Amino acid sequence: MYGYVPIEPVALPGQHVLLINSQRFELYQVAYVEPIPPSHPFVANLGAIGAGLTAAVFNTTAILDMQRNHLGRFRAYVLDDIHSVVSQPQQLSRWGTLNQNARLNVYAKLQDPCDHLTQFHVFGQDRIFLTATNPTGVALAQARVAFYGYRHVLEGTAFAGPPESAMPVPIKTFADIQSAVAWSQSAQGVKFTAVDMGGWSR
Amino acid sequence: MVSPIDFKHGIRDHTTLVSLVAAATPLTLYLLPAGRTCRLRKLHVFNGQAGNVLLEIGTGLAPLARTLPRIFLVPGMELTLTEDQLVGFEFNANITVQADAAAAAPADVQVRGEVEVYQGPTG
Repeated sequence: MYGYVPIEPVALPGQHVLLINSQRFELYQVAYVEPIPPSHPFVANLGAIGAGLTAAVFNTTAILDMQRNHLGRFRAYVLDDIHSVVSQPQQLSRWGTLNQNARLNVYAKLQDPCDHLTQFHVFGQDRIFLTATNPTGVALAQARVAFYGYRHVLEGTAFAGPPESAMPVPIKTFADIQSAVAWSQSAQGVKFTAVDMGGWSR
Repeated sequence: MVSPIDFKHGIRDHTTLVSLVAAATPLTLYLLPAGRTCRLRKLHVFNGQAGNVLLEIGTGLAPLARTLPRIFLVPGMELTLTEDQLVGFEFNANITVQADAAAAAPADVQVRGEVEVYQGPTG
Protein backbone atom coordinates (compact mmCIF):
# COMPACT_ATOMS: atom_id res chain seq x y z
CA MET A 1 0.00 0.00 0.00
CA TYR A 2 2.85 2.36 0.77
CA GLY A 3 5.60 0.62 -1.15
CA TYR A 4 8.12 2.52 -3.23
CA VAL A 5 6.13 1.91 -6.41
CA PRO A 6 4.01 3.94 -8.83
CA ILE A 7 0.46 4.52 -7.68
CA GLU A 8 -1.99 1.61 -7.84
CA PRO A 9 -5.70 1.31 -7.03
CA VAL A 10 -6.63 0.68 -3.41
CA ALA A 11 -8.40 -2.52 -4.42
CA LEU A 12 -9.98 -4.01 -7.53
CA PRO A 13 -13.69 -4.53 -8.22
CA GLY A 14 -15.06 -7.24 -5.95
CA GLN A 15 -12.48 -6.68 -3.25
CA HIS A 16 -13.20 -5.05 0.11
CA VAL A 17 -11.78 -1.93 1.71
CA LEU A 18 -11.84 -0.89 5.36
CA LEU A 19 -11.99 2.89 5.62
CA ILE A 20 -10.36 4.13 8.82
CA ASN A 21 -11.95 7.52 9.19
CA SER A 22 -11.77 9.49 12.43
CA GLN A 23 -11.25 6.24 14.35
CA ARG A 24 -14.26 4.61 12.71
CA PHE A 25 -13.77 1.38 10.78
CA GLU A 26 -16.17 0.94 7.87
CA LEU A 27 -16.20 -1.92 5.38
CA TYR A 28 -17.19 -1.43 1.73
CA GLN A 29 -16.84 -3.38 -1.48
CA VAL A 30 -15.24 -1.91 -4.59
CA ALA A 31 -17.55 -1.94 -7.61
CA TYR A 32 -15.55 0.06 -10.14
CA VAL A 33 -12.11 1.61 -10.54
CA GLU A 34 -10.73 4.12 -13.01
CA PRO A 35 -7.56 6.20 -13.17
CA ILE A 36 -7.26 9.98 -12.87
CA PRO A 37 -4.15 10.83 -14.88
CA PRO A 38 -2.12 14.00 -14.28
CA SER A 39 -3.87 16.84 -16.10
CA HIS A 40 -4.61 20.52 -15.66
CA PRO A 41 -8.05 20.20 -13.94
CA PHE A 42 -6.22 18.44 -11.12
CA VAL A 43 -3.76 21.25 -10.53
CA ALA A 44 -4.66 23.48 -7.58
CA ASN A 45 -3.43 27.06 -7.78
CA LEU A 46 -3.18 28.55 -4.30
CA GLY A 47 -2.44 31.93 -5.87
CA ALA A 48 0.33 34.46 -5.48
CA ILE A 49 2.32 34.35 -2.25
CA GLY A 50 4.67 37.11 -1.18
CA ALA A 51 8.23 36.38 -0.07
CA GLY A 52 8.24 34.49 3.19
CA LEU A 53 4.47 34.68 3.56
CA THR A 54 1.81 32.04 4.07
CA ALA A 55 -1.32 31.94 1.92
CA ALA A 56 -4.84 31.52 3.28
CA VAL A 57 -6.05 27.94 3.73
CA PHE A 58 -6.94 26.45 0.35
CA ASN A 59 -10.00 24.22 0.12
CA THR A 60 -9.64 21.51 -2.53
CA THR A 61 -13.39 20.99 -2.85
CA ALA A 62 -13.51 22.05 -6.51
CA ILE A 63 -10.81 19.56 -7.43
CA LEU A 64 -10.89 16.55 -5.13
CA ASP A 65 -14.48 16.21 -3.87
CA MET A 66 -15.96 12.87 -4.87
CA GLN A 67 -19.45 11.45 -5.20
CA ARG A 68 -20.69 10.32 -1.76
CA ASN A 69 -19.87 6.67 -2.35
CA HIS A 70 -16.64 7.27 -4.28
CA LEU A 71 -13.16 6.89 -2.85
CA GLY A 72 -10.21 8.73 -4.37
CA ARG A 73 -6.61 7.74 -3.94
CA PHE A 74 -4.25 10.56 -4.84
CA ARG A 75 -0.61 11.48 -4.86
CA ALA A 76 0.62 15.05 -5.05
CA TYR A 77 3.59 17.11 -6.10
CA VAL A 78 4.27 20.82 -6.12
CA LEU A 79 4.99 22.83 -9.25
CA ASP A 80 6.30 25.91 -7.46
CA ASP A 81 8.75 26.42 -4.62
CA ILE A 82 6.31 26.22 -1.73
CA HIS A 83 5.93 24.02 1.30
CA SER A 84 2.41 23.08 2.19
CA VAL A 85 0.78 21.56 5.24
CA VAL A 86 -1.94 19.08 4.29
CA SER A 87 -4.96 18.87 6.59
CA GLN A 88 -7.79 16.34 6.56
CA PRO A 89 -10.20 17.31 8.02
CA GLN A 90 -9.42 21.00 8.00
CA GLN A 91 -8.43 21.32 11.65
CA LEU A 92 -6.14 18.29 11.66
CA SER A 93 -2.78 18.25 9.90
CA ARG A 94 -1.76 15.03 8.24
CA TRP A 95 1.58 13.27 7.96
CA GLY A 96 2.59 14.17 11.48
CA THR A 97 4.30 12.97 14.59
CA LEU A 98 3.52 14.22 18.08
CA ASN A 99 5.13 17.60 17.46
CA GLN A 100 5.77 17.97 13.73
CA ASN A 101 4.05 17.72 10.38
CA ALA A 102 5.71 16.87 7.09
CA ARG A 103 4.96 19.17 4.18
CA LEU A 104 4.56 18.92 0.46
CA ASN A 105 7.63 20.63 -0.98
CA VAL A 106 10.01 20.82 -3.90
CA TYR A 107 12.51 18.39 -2.42
CA ALA A 108 10.07 15.50 -2.03
CA LYS A 109 10.21 14.66 -5.75
CA LEU A 110 13.99 14.40 -5.64
CA GLN A 111 13.92 11.72 -2.95
CA ASP A 112 10.67 10.12 -4.01
CA PRO A 113 10.08 10.27 -7.79
CA CYS A 114 6.89 8.19 -7.61
CA ASP A 115 5.40 10.44 -4.88
CA HIS A 116 4.40 7.43 -2.79
CA LEU A 117 4.92 9.28 0.49
CA THR A 118 2.41 11.94 -0.55
CA GLN A 119 -0.44 9.47 -0.91
CA PHE A 120 -3.81 10.26 0.65
CA HIS A 121 -7.46 9.29 0.23
CA VAL A 122 -10.68 11.21 -0.15
CA PHE A 123 -14.02 9.53 0.53
CA GLY A 124 -17.00 11.57 -0.58
CA GLN A 125 -16.41 15.10 0.57
CA ASP A 126 -13.72 14.33 3.15
CA ARG A 127 -11.40 16.56 1.19
CA ILE A 128 -7.96 17.88 2.10
CA PHE A 129 -6.98 21.47 2.83
CA LEU A 130 -3.66 23.06 1.92
CA THR A 131 -1.77 25.80 3.73
CA ALA A 132 1.17 26.94 1.62
CA THR A 133 4.18 29.03 2.57
CA ASN A 134 6.63 30.68 0.22
CA PRO A 135 10.04 30.02 1.82
CA THR A 136 11.95 32.08 -0.73
CA GLY A 137 13.03 35.69 -0.74
CA VAL A 138 11.02 36.54 -3.83
CA ALA A 139 7.30 36.68 -4.49
CA LEU A 140 5.68 33.74 -6.25
CA ALA A 141 3.14 34.61 -8.92
CA GLN A 142 1.40 31.30 -8.35
CA ALA A 143 1.62 28.30 -6.08
CA ARG A 144 0.55 25.10 -7.78
CA VAL A 145 0.00 21.59 -6.45
CA ALA A 146 -0.79 18.76 -8.86
CA PHE A 147 -2.74 15.59 -8.07
CA TYR A 148 -3.29 12.27 -9.82
CA GLY A 149 -4.56 8.87 -8.83
CA TYR A 150 -7.58 6.60 -8.97
CA ARG A 151 -11.31 6.80 -8.34
CA HIS A 152 -13.11 3.84 -6.79
CA VAL A 153 -16.88 3.42 -6.62
CA LEU A 154 -17.74 1.74 -3.32
CA GLU A 155 -20.84 -0.23 -2.54
CA GLY A 156 -22.28 -0.74 0.92
CA THR A 157 -25.63 -2.22 1.71
CA ALA A 158 -27.81 0.81 0.91
CA PHE A 159 -27.97 4.59 1.07
CA ALA A 160 -29.26 6.34 4.18
CA GLY A 161 -30.53 9.86 4.70
CA PRO A 162 -32.35 12.38 2.49
CA PRO A 163 -31.78 11.89 -1.26
CA GLU A 164 -29.69 15.03 -1.64
CA SER A 165 -27.26 13.95 1.05
CA ALA A 166 -27.67 10.19 1.23
CA MET A 167 -24.60 8.38 2.46
CA PRO A 168 -23.73 4.80 1.66
CA VAL A 169 -24.23 2.45 4.59
CA PRO A 170 -21.16 0.31 5.15
CA ILE A 171 -21.42 -3.44 4.81
CA LYS A 172 -20.15 -3.55 8.38
CA THR A 173 -18.91 -1.01 10.91
CA PHE A 174 -16.38 -1.90 13.55
CA ALA A 175 -15.43 -0.19 16.79
CA ASP A 176 -11.77 -1.03 16.48
CA ILE A 177 -9.26 -2.79 14.29
CA GLN A 178 -9.24 -5.95 16.40
CA SER A 179 -12.93 -6.56 15.79
CA ALA A 180 -12.47 -5.88 12.06
CA VAL A 181 -9.67 -8.43 11.88
CA ALA A 182 -11.64 -10.90 13.97
CA TRP A 183 -14.61 -10.53 11.62
CA SER A 184 -12.36 -11.00 8.59
CA GLN A 185 -10.97 -14.21 10.06
CA SER A 186 -14.45 -15.51 10.84
CA ALA A 187 -15.88 -14.59 7.44
CA GLN A 188 -14.16 -17.06 5.16
CA GLY A 189 -12.44 -15.52 2.18
CA VAL A 190 -13.36 -11.92 2.97
CA LYS A 191 -10.20 -9.92 3.30
CA PHE A 192 -9.93 -6.16 3.18
CA THR A 193 -7.43 -3.44 2.46
CA ALA A 194 -7.26 -0.85 5.22
CA VAL A 195 -7.35 2.74 3.97
CA ASP A 196 -6.22 5.74 6.02
CA MET A 197 -8.64 8.65 5.77
CA GLY A 198 -7.10 11.07 8.25
CA GLY A 199 -8.96 12.39 11.23
CA TRP A 200 -7.06 10.30 13.76
CA SER A 201 -6.17 12.89 16.35
CA ARG A 202 -3.18 12.64 18.60
CA MET B 1 13.79 9.97 -12.84
CA VAL B 2 13.93 13.61 -11.84
CA SER B 3 17.41 15.05 -11.94
CA PRO B 4 18.82 16.67 -8.80
CA ILE B 5 18.64 20.13 -10.34
CA ASP B 6 15.03 20.09 -11.47
CA PHE B 7 12.23 19.23 -9.10
CA LYS B 8 9.77 19.41 -11.95
CA HIS B 9 9.82 18.65 -15.63
CA GLY B 10 7.85 20.26 -18.42
CA ILE B 11 7.29 19.73 -22.10
CA ARG B 12 9.45 21.25 -24.81
CA ASP B 13 7.94 23.68 -27.28
CA HIS B 14 9.34 26.10 -29.82
CA THR B 15 8.70 29.79 -30.09
CA THR B 16 7.64 31.70 -33.16
CA LEU B 17 10.32 33.13 -35.44
CA VAL B 18 10.33 36.78 -34.52
CA SER B 19 11.65 39.32 -36.99
CA LEU B 20 12.42 42.59 -35.24
CA VAL B 21 12.15 45.35 -37.85
CA ALA B 22 11.88 48.43 -35.63
CA ALA B 23 14.17 49.63 -32.86
CA ALA B 24 12.97 49.32 -29.26
CA THR B 25 9.67 47.79 -30.35
CA PRO B 26 8.95 44.59 -28.43
CA LEU B 27 7.32 41.59 -30.06
CA THR B 28 6.03 38.40 -28.50
CA LEU B 29 8.47 35.53 -28.76
CA TYR B 30 6.43 32.90 -26.93
CA LEU B 31 2.73 32.99 -26.14
CA LEU B 32 2.40 31.24 -22.78
CA PRO B 33 -0.87 29.37 -22.13
CA ALA B 34 -2.81 30.68 -19.14
CA GLY B 35 -1.74 29.23 -15.80
CA ARG B 36 1.44 27.69 -17.13
CA THR B 37 5.02 28.80 -16.62
CA CYS B 38 8.10 28.19 -18.74
CA ARG B 39 11.85 28.47 -18.92
CA LEU B 40 13.82 29.47 -22.01
CA ARG B 41 16.02 26.49 -22.90
CA LYS B 42 17.48 27.50 -26.26
CA LEU B 43 17.87 30.78 -28.10
CA HIS B 44 18.95 31.30 -31.69
CA VAL B 45 19.41 34.85 -32.94
CA PHE B 46 20.77 36.56 -36.04
CA ASN B 47 21.71 40.20 -36.34
CA GLY B 48 21.07 41.47 -39.88
CA GLN B 49 22.06 44.99 -38.91
CA ALA B 50 25.24 46.65 -40.14
CA GLY B 51 25.94 47.79 -36.59
CA ASN B 52 26.04 46.34 -33.12
CA VAL B 53 22.73 45.40 -31.51
CA LEU B 54 21.65 44.92 -27.93
CA LEU B 55 18.94 42.30 -27.68
CA GLU B 56 16.59 42.27 -24.68
CA ILE B 57 14.37 39.44 -23.46
CA GLY B 58 11.63 39.87 -20.91
CA THR B 59 7.89 40.17 -20.49
CA GLY B 60 5.38 42.78 -21.56
CA LEU B 61 5.04 44.85 -24.71
CA ALA B 62 4.52 48.33 -23.37
CA PRO B 63 7.20 48.45 -22.23
CA LEU B 64 9.25 45.27 -22.14
CA ALA B 65 10.44 44.42 -18.63
CA ARG B 66 13.83 42.79 -19.02
CA THR B 67 14.29 39.49 -17.20
CA LEU B 68 17.64 38.37 -18.60
CA PRO B 69 20.85 40.38 -19.12
CA ARG B 70 21.08 42.09 -22.48
CA ILE B 71 22.76 40.15 -25.28
CA PHE B 72 25.38 41.94 -27.37
CA LEU B 73 25.41 41.12 -31.09
CA VAL B 74 28.04 42.36 -33.53
CA PRO B 75 27.04 42.96 -37.18
CA GLY B 76 26.02 39.78 -39.03
CA MET B 77 26.37 37.72 -35.88
CA GLU B 78 24.57 34.43 -35.44
CA LEU B 79 24.36 33.23 -31.84
CA THR B 80 22.95 30.08 -30.29
CA LEU B 81 22.60 29.84 -26.55
CA THR B 82 21.63 26.48 -25.09
CA GLU B 83 20.38 25.41 -21.69
CA ASP B 84 23.92 25.36 -20.33
CA GLN B 85 24.40 29.05 -21.04
CA LEU B 86 20.90 30.35 -20.32
CA VAL B 87 19.74 31.24 -16.85
CA GLY B 88 16.63 29.20 -16.04
CA PHE B 89 14.41 32.15 -15.20
CA GLU B 90 10.82 30.98 -14.90
CA PHE B 91 8.43 33.09 -16.94
CA ASN B 92 4.80 33.34 -15.88
CA ALA B 93 3.81 35.60 -18.78
CA ASN B 94 4.44 35.75 -22.51
CA ILE B 95 8.12 36.07 -23.41
CA THR B 96 8.82 39.22 -25.36
CA VAL B 97 11.91 40.44 -27.17
CA GLN B 98 13.25 43.71 -28.54
CA ALA B 99 16.43 45.13 -30.10
CA ASP B 100 17.87 48.62 -29.79
CA ALA B 101 18.29 48.76 -33.54
CA ALA B 102 16.44 46.97 -36.31
CA ALA B 103 15.06 47.55 -39.79
CA ALA B 104 13.19 45.70 -42.49
CA ALA B 105 14.74 42.47 -43.74
CA PRO B 106 17.48 41.74 -44.52
CA ALA B 107 18.49 44.25 -41.83
CA ASP B 108 16.14 42.73 -39.27
CA VAL B 109 17.09 40.92 -36.07
CA GLN B 110 15.70 37.40 -36.01
CA VAL B 111 15.00 35.43 -32.86
CA ARG B 112 13.70 31.96 -32.23
CA GLY B 113 13.89 29.74 -29.18
CA GLU B 114 12.82 26.64 -27.38
CA VAL B 115 11.04 26.60 -24.05
CA GLU B 116 10.27 24.06 -21.35
CA VAL B 117 6.65 24.58 -20.35
CA TYR B 118 5.27 23.51 -16.97
CA GLN B 119 1.77 22.35 -16.21
CA GLY B 120 -0.74 24.78 -14.74
CA PRO B 121 -4.32 24.75 -13.46
CA THR B 122 -5.66 25.90 -16.83
CA GLY B 123 -4.64 25.50 -20.44
